[in-house]
Amino acid sequence: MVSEQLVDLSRLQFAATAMYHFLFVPLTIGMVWMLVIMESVYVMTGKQVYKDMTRFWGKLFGINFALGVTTGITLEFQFGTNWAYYSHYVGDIFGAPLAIEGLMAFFLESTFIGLFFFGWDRLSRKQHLLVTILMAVGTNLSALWILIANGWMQSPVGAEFSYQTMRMEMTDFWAIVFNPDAQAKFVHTVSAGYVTGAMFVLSISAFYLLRGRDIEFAKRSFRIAAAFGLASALSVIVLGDESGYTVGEAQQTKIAAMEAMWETEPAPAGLKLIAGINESEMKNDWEIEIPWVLGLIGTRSIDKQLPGIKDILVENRARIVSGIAAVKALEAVRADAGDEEAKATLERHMSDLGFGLLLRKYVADMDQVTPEIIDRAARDTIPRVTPMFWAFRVMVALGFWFLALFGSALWFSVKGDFADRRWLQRAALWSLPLPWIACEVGWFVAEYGRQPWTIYGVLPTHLSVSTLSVSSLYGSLAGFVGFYTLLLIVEMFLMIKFARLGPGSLGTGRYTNEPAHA
Amino acid sequence: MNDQKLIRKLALVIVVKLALLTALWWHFVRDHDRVLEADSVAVHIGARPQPTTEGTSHGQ
Repeated sequence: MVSEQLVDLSRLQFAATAMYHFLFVPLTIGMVWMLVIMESVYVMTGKQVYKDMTRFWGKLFGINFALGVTTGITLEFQFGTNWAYYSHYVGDIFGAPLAIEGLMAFFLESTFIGLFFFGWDRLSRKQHLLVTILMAVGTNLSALWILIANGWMQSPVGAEFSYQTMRMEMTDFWAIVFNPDAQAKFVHTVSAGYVTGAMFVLSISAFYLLRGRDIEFAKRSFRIAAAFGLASALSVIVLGDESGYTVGEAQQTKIAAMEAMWETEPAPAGLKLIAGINESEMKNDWEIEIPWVLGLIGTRSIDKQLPGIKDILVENRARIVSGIAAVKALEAVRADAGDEEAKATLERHMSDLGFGLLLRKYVADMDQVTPEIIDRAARDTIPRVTPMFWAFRVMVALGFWFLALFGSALWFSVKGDFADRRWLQRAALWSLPLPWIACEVGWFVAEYGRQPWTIYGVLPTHLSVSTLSVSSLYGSLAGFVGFYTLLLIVEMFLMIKFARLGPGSLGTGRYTNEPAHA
Repeated sequence: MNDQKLIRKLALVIVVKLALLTALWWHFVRDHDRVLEADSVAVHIGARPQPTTEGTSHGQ
């Protein structure tokens, strides 16, 4: 059996590299649409300041892109090295969107990013704007394919298991592409990126306003960021609600853990604002609840119930028992391909095969399974509730903070007196790191909440890892973390340097910190 | 700082990054081929290999 240390280290390595990678990604996704807006205004009005805005914010976008590009490659290394069984089991399905993403990223996104930076003097205004739009489309399409792959891990559709090849095989490509979980995840994730891009521009513009420099440039940037940010914050909340609905449909365990909902409550269930979670006794010692809200989000109805953790445990236990029959039938079919009875049994219990495989963490032989082992495996199907509950609340609270901040920024922009409201500018400046925190805890909820599965209900995490040595994993973990930390330091250094220089770094002679004024 | 200087710096960053990635790949990935076939996966998850294909597994 695979050691728990090996599984934990493999997970830690993937989580660390993915979370580092996602420090760069949301800014790229969000900033690119800010550039489209700024350049569109330039093309429509012909005002030089909008071209300067596109070039300056484009420069910061370029620094982020240059530092962030290829940081996802180490994740792909790991699919091959650390997750070999996962790659074999689901590679036929998972590989397709990843390959398309690679084509999008390298041939569409990167090409147009090159044209964006080097095409200012070679393309007409409209041609350059078209390049910027295609760069934005390419960036977002890149994200779409990654999230289709990730959505399939959360809700595996359009595929079936083959006992001959011992892998999942694609049966319906379009079901995978239009998987509701993937679509909800895509719109929610890119909206979070848009909030990040808007906050980045809003915060740095607020910094210039607080310093009393490059006022006209900062005011225009602030206004665009406020409008785009408000639309994005609304999107991220509304589409997060949609994401909650699809999670409710596909992964009731995750939503029950996010809500610390131990018992099945009468429909429509209430949403717990905060609670004192007692995991050992499987109850909340106290809680403050808003009636109805969770039921409405999770089921879009007032009479459908969302199951609580205790009922899910009972259901999962039954599925594990059914899964034992599936695993035994699979063993029989693998030993004798002509065993028709075993094939029929496997077919009957196929949907619970993954649940039977959860027992492999404890026993090699299915005949040694005891009721206690089944209970332990069933308990494994529920992720730890406390981190899920609080991480989700941090994300939601930040979402509403962004709504309030961008709403205030736009309100005072429309009134025309935001430049005098230093509290607003300070709030914008100090909110700069918050979208990244929201993005990271959002991913934590999505991925930690999927445990103990790599593919929900199909393949347990402990059967997905390669049989590497622990020392090798420590070494590569240190290497990857060192590599990403170095990139992050360089990113921070360049970003802070150019943000401080401001639009003067363009060398146009129109702004503070120009060489002539220095 | 003008754009040319920044471009040179970013180009240097990308070259260093690719070199580091290559070094990581060289050290941790290159010699760790995982050739998996149905039989080795069956053994890993506990289902026995089919007798007709026994002995063809590359394992790990």
